[in-house]
Amino acid sequence: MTAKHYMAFRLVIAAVLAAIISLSVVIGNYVLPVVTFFSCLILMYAVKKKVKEVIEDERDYEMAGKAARYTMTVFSLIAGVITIILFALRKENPGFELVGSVLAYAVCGMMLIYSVIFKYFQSKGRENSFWIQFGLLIILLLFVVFGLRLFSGEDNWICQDGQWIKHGNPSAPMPISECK
Amino acid sequence: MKNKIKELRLKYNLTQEELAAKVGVRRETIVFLEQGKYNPSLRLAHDVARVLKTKIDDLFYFD
Repeated sequence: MTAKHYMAFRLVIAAVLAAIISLSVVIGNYVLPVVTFFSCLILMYAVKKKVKEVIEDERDYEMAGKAARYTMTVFSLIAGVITIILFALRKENPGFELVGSVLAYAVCGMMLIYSVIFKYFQSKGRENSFWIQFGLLIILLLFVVFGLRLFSGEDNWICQDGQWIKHGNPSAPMPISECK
Repeated sequence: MKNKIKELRLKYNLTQEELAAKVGVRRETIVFLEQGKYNPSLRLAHDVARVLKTKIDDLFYFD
């Protein structure tokens, strides 16, 4: 397979994936897009192996590194500003606080993962690299545990018998939407 | 940093495509290398020098 064929194949796969995800959102099936996503990943990997030509080289990797760094900076700045605005306007709409929190935690998570991966590559080849990598793994595990705790719904409002009931100690005010 | 890649490539009758295939990069990378717009890694510089039967020192030079 040539590089051109591979690029065309990649476009087709992207279009199919987008169509299936859209369809899944409409019909409310959330297993289908996950299965399709991983199937497409495996398919792309298998097809990429069949390409004889060089698809990417060290110049592409260098550019990808630069692009990732700029993307991190730009996205973090924009998300940070939007988060501050959303928090400032939370009295106008209590939902803004939740959106702002999700955005803020997403940016923090992304920066943490970036830092951990950066440190991992920095530690490679060092004498104490094992302990550095072990420490990074612990940080990642703590992040996952913290995330699970955060999104587990421990401190939230629960709709029960037509009434909003406090579960734990939610920071957000009682939802204004109707409890059915 | 300048280089003699184009000069030596033509001497050995190699196209950019062929040189790229021999050193395992895309043709565009050879184009940028020849124009002095890309500084290669030591490994790539070594591979290009080997294919063009020269040394890195002779292939790349500063003005």
